Amino acid sequence: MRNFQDESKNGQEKEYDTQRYIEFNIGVERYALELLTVLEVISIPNTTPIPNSPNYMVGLMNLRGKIISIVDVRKKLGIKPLDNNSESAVIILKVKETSIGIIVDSINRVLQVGKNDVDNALEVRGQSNAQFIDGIYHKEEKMTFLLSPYKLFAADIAFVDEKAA
Amino acid sequence: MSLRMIPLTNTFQKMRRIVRDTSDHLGKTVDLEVIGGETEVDKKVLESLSDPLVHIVRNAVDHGVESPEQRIETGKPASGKVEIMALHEGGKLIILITDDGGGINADVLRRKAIAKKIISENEVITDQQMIQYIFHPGFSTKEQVTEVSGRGVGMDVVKTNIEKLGGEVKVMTKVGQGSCFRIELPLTLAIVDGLIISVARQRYALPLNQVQEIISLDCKDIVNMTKGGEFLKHRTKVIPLFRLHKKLNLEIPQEEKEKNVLTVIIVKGGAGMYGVVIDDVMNKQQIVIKTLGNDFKDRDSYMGGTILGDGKPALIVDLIETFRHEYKIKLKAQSIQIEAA
Repeated sequence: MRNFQDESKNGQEKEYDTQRYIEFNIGVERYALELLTVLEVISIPNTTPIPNSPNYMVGLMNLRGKIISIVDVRKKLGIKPLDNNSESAVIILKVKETSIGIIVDSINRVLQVGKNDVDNALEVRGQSNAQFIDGIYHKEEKMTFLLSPYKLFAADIAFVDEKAA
Repeated sequence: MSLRMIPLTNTFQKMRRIVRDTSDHLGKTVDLEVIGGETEVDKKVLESLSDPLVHIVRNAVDHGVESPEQRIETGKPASGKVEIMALHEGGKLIILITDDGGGINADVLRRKAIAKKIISENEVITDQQMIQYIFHPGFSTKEQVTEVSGRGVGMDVVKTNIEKLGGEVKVMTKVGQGSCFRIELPLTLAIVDGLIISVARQRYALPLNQVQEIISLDCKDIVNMTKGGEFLKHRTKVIPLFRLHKKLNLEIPQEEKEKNVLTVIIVKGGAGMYGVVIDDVMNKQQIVIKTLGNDFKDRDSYMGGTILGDGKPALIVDLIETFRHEYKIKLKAQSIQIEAA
């Protein structure tokens, strides 16, 4: 069973009974991110490409004077985007000190996730996307993968270990 | 932005005490004159400026100003004078620390440098160049190590600290009349002069202080060496030539490939000079450096991002960092070439 932890407050890990997630579609799969990490949702912006960056790194955008990197999680997770989709949006997240935007196919709803509605993701060898999730929400018939932004960007961003620092 | 600007008054006030304490300790009388304390500077710059300033001021009192007896002998007033002046000049902060002491004797420095094997005996170095050696690590001309100064660590630290801030320090001196230290700093760390260029139809900003020169280069003048890269003759030197679009893995449009005259930026930094081929120079402007979420890996080539006039973000390419790796390789190739010849 997954413990609900407030990762932003390192050391003093609080446990909650329920937590709110924002649910979205990547391709036909449903994913969710903890609402607390989400700063805002915007439409797909114009971006400036970043040379020598991975193919899923779409580029930089100007968000009211702040420069934010936009990542296409569909490419990162290797999921085929929906065809003829007009609902694509960018979710701006705060991962530690860095703001990142991720492109998703559609924003669905805010999900109230109870402690007992989540199962730990099984670590299956060779299933590399499984490493990015914290758990699976299974209360409804269609399951939702709870993404961990921290795990998702662990390979791209050198997170400073607060404990070590 | 204005909130981050702080006047130098407090830092200069601290110098008064340092001058008084140091001169008392050494049995000298030194008057300190402060001009331009109201000059404002970025808080971050100010924080790292304090220590180098203390060091230079102490040095001026200890090494610069002579003892009262000596001063009277040479016909100077018994009390020495140290002057600190701050001013803005062309988007830069200039701090001058002047003393009316004995100056720095280039010959003494030269002898010292030879003795310490920093330079060789028959090396031709002008007096002005020689004097800059006081910033060399492990250099102290005072025979006697005092509590105040002369341990040979210091001036090199001053130089590195100031260079870390993107500034420069120079010294001018006249034997018998005194010395003047000139510190040049960018007014703020967040705003720099930038050169906007285009490569593969995309705009990039370059920090102007890395740009030595912009030249037009005829393709005929490029020397190509198999597995050794490209070179060009610039004035009297042969320097390596790099192509920015190749380094950034960008595909340049056909018309750029067919160009006979290339736009080349001459970069001076780190180990030496090299040329960087770009597509076009757009304009020069002041750019505000913004972080890219600085923790991203594989972004060493970029100093950050900036937002151009039309609201589009552009990357600031750090040319020295970008070609650090290549430059080493090229140098190797060059030395092989020389050995073979």
